[in-house]
Amino acid sequence: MKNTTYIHLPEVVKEKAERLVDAGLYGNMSELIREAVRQYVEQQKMSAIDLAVELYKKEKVSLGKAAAIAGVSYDEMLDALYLRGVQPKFEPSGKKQAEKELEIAKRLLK
Amino acid sequence: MIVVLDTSCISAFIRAGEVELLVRILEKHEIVLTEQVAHELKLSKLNDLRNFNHPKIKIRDVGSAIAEKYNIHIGEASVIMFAKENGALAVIDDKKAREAAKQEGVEFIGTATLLKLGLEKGAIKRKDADMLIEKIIDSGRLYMTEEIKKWILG
Repeated sequence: MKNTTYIHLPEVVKEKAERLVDAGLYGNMSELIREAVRQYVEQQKMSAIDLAVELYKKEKVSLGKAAAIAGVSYDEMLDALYLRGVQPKFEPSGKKQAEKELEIAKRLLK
Repeated sequence: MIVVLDTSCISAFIRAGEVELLVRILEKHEIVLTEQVAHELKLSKLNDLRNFNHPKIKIRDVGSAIAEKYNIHIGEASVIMFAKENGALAVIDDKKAREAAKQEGVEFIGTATLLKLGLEKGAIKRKDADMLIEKIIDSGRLYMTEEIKKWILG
């Protein structure tokens, strides 16, 4: 799959990068940037599970999705949150919301 | 009525050893798990979750195409899609999955609400309520606020 990202480089960084390409260390600018990004990502020490916990804390993903990102089962993800002191975002969390849901339950589950 | 359960709900009852209670609370209704939720249970390291099956809880096949749209898992997405396609009531606890359900116009409740209903219907006896609900919340890893715990038992 072709995946193109456009980036703006400061002139000074661009010049230095072009020198590396001109010197033949990289075939072209794309190759240099791909390699730079790959090395940067690999240097990040965050494990898949920590990444999933962070995404979940920021409400970017659901709990099930976090488990899939971490590559663990649903209950292992719950354990991971527990070990890190992160409270799962389960609802209803307040009485008012719960009362509304109880009305739905009583209406539909007669 | 068909009631379709997300992973948090069914796994809480299984972990607490109280699936029969769940069946009693929903005795007149059809209880469904989607294939995707059943698969999530199979990934567990806990035998009770991995080997779960119950004659009164049916596994049904449905799509999960909305998962990407809402940044939720295919399990949660399948629960929402099943409820939408079958006019079923969904039991979902995850906040983000509930937001998706709302957007899709699906009616849903949480496991906490199901427990409250069980108490009101008499499926959970008053004298057993404290211990039983505490067990489902703790063993079932069903995180609830103190306000909600009090509400269920109130």
